[in-house]
Amino acid sequence: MTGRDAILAALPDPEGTTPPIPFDRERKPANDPWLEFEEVLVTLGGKMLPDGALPLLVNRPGDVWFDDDALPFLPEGIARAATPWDAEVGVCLADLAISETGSLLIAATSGRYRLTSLAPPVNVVLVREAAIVASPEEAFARVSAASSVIVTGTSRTADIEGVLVRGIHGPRELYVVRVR
Amino acid sequence: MKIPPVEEFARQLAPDTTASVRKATANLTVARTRALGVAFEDANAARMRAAAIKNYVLDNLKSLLLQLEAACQKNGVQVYWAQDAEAARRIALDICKKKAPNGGLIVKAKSMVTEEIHLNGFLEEHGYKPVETDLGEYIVQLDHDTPSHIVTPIIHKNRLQVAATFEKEGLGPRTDDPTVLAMQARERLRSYFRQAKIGISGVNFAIAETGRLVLIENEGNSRFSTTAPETHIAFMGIEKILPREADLPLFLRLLAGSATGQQLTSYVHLISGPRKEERDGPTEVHLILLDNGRSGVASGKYREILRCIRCGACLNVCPVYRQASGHAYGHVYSGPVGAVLTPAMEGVQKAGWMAKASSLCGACEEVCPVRIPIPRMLLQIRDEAVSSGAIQEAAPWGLYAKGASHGWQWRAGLKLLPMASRFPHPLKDAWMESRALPRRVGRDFRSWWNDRP
Repeated sequence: MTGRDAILAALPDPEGTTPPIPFDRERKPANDPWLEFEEVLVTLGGKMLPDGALPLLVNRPGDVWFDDDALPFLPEGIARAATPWDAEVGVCLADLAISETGSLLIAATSGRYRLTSLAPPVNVVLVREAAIVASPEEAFARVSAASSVIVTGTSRTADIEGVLVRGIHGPRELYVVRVR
Repeated sequence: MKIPPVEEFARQLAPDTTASVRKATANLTVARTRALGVAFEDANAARMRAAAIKNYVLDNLKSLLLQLEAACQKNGVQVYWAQDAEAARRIALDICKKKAPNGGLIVKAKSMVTEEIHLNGFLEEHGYKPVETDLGEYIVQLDHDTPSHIVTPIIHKNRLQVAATFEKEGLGPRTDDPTVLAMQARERLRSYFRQAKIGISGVNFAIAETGRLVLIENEGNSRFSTTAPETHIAFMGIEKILPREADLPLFLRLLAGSATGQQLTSYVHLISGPRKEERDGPTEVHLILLDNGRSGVASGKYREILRCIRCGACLNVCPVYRQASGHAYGHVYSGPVGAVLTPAMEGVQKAGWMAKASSLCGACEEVCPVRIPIPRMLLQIRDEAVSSGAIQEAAPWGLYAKGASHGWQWRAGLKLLPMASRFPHPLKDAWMESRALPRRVGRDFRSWWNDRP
């Protein structure tokens, strides 16, 4: 008997019940979702910047890594770092922002690198003006089938005496820029 | 009177350790309350629903596992079934041998289930170098120690101890600044992420409907471990299933809130298999489903313990854990949940004594995000362990039980009790230092009852 057969044989037979309905939270959407997003983001170690700040953020020749779909928003003629591992700044385009939790949903869709939002110590995330939802519940209703990550603030640890340290493995600085 | 093992351990702990554990657990408990209050209008309703969904999973585990297997395979994930720890280790080793026949570096994300099967030692025996990449787990590994908490593994250590370890390992100049220490670890571990051909992780939730593997974390090391190497091997206990993706927001909030007081952890990974249209990520993803006693628990009287989502809230709130810390329990899973899970999985004969490490105050059930009736199960395990002769209750309780079950002995005891407080007795010395037994005033209930008109 294989491990599979043995495990299945040891389990009780299904009860044939129907699953409880998913938990739904009632929540009033914020008047200004972007304002709410920004307020929460700041508490998580992130910052929102106006799109005019973008050229300054990426003004580090050879130190910037970006995904192809972020390129149209970047200054013309910008050079890409050799690999995401060597870059100081990583620029990616997020699929959704979540206002309640200050989160960003980034799917590993065509042409993107998962390491763009992970390896460089500074992460610049671009989000389209209209791509904002109120809650994680709404985000999950629209999540891509591709491997995805929900980023809520900077990389952090509190393993040593509960002291909060940002940027332990992933980015220590997180900037969000609204784009059109 | 013989001192129970957990109490014995607690008495020998360095005051430093007790202080670290108490401070951290108290802070986490406060953070939990605040976070769940923000997340839910009615946190109780949320916990009830989570419990109901996990019950559904346990009722239908067989069909959900088959559904998960099919969905994973459709996503390109290779699925394996391991009946016990040995089988799981062998499956992992076979994969490693195919991908890296000459041994080498393996980066590991934090995973209790790989602790449970003692994977690291096994891989080391076979020429591999598994490196724990969660900061706390990395420190535990450097110190040849074991985690003492399922969420915050070095809750028993302070910064000076970490500083000494890092200096010895040559991670950088000695410092007791947690930020600098963390950056020293970052630099060393970053080079490992870049080199490793294999990454190993656990799984927090697996979605039967879509075959998606969900991992949560704050540091980013799980992301590196499951993204940078060519091969990702994920281990999961068979009970970690959720039926639908729509169930995730509830569980993500409950887990983050109960574990660390966050609304969501810094990262939630939704892994849909190996690299597809994206340009990086592993080319192979392997999922090892581990039973290791769980199927037996699922059909037994302690099945509700399998609702556990490993948040650690019951450890943080437990007066015994706070005083004794995790190593006192002598097993991978400690605290109230460990004192039920371990005897349930490994047998009451072997681990039933753990259930005595409890004051039965009920705080664990109060904070449990899936409302596991831990106190009730602790009592059941104690009862089972005593009747099977695995443990003995303390002698005074035996006397009490005898006396309380015979009418005349009970009545005599009641008459004698008021007198007892006037005599010195070794058993009541420590307890009575700051307390007094109440004095009986008037007649007792039984005689009043019998005399009533």
